[in-house]
Amino acid sequence: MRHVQPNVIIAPVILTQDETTQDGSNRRTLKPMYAQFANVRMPHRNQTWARVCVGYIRTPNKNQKPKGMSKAEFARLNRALFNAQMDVLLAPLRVYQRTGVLMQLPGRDGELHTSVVVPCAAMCSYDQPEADLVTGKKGAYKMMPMMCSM
Amino acid sequence: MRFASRDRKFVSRETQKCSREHKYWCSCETCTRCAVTGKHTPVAMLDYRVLRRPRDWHTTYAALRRSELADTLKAAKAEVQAHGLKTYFPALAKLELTNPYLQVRYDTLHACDGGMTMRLLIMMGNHLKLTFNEAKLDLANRRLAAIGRHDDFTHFNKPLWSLDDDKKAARPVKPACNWRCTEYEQLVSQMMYEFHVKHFVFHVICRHVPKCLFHVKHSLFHVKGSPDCFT
Repeated sequence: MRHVQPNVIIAPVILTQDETTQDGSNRRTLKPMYAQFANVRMPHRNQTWARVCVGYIRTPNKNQKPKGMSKAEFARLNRALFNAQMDVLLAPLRVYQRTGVLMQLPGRDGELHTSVVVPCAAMCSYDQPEADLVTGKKGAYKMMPMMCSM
Repeated sequence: MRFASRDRKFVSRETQKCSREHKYWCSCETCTRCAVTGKHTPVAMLDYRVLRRPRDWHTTYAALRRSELADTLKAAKAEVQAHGLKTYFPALAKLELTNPYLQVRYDTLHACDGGMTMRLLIMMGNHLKLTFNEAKLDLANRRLAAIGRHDDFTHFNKPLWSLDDDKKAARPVKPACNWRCTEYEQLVSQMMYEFHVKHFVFHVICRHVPKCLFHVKHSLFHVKGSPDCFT
């Protein structure tokens, strides 16, 4: 706190995302993105009020690939679409990182004080395929000697 | 992946030495030297004792910017080829105070397997096919199909592995369906009919899971019920 201006609070945000099925037959999947504040205590972080669904990222159906388009080109466009959707979902965070948000927060004395809250992505939690997508890392290549880390 | 000559100036002297000694080099700059024998080996890259260094953000940021400004797709690929990256600038990297290579981590659901559940299943299926034969693979599928339906394990009625029709495929066996982590935990406990498989799975998990996260229970490797009822 000593590195910020008075009445400015940095709010660390945890982003989580994983592909999940949306119907009973497991044929339709979406990728919801959840955000939660990291300063919420660990036992309460999994509560409904502690997290918010930012939005959903849709995965194109591979059966709807246009004829004449190669698999590599279709995969490249899918990655670009995923990245564009991520861009839209993270747009408010980018704006508030520059300006901050004026918020009425209770102080130690119990009274409400006006503070500037600056959100910051502290940690992004993903599993293997999504981590490759959000970082732009190649998942595998020929003669790959190991499971590549970040 | 081998480093291009113009990118070698970014890596350390030790890294350059290692890359000359060994043919294959990962783009995340992890040394292929085994922690035990001191020799370069691709097997050691699966060792949890090998410390893996994340990509340098400033170097990759510059490469991604050059790739974004490239005129052609071929030129864009060439800019990020040496870093093992795709040609788009990640949306996560546009956030301020964010290093995606340091701050993206596996969630708690995948802490045990590192998000590589499907890879482990593929390795296990190929091990059955190559070590034994197709009959053993079919027997494993039939054993799984004979297990009763479970709330968190609804895929038992489908075969787990199938043979790949593509003759050029690197691995002869491919997964026939997707699995969730809760299903995977029970799958491993049900797969322990053969001592060889049991030993193999334990070996694979030991290789993949970091030591600090290694909390696989011994009960996971116990067979539930008699395996004779499935033969």
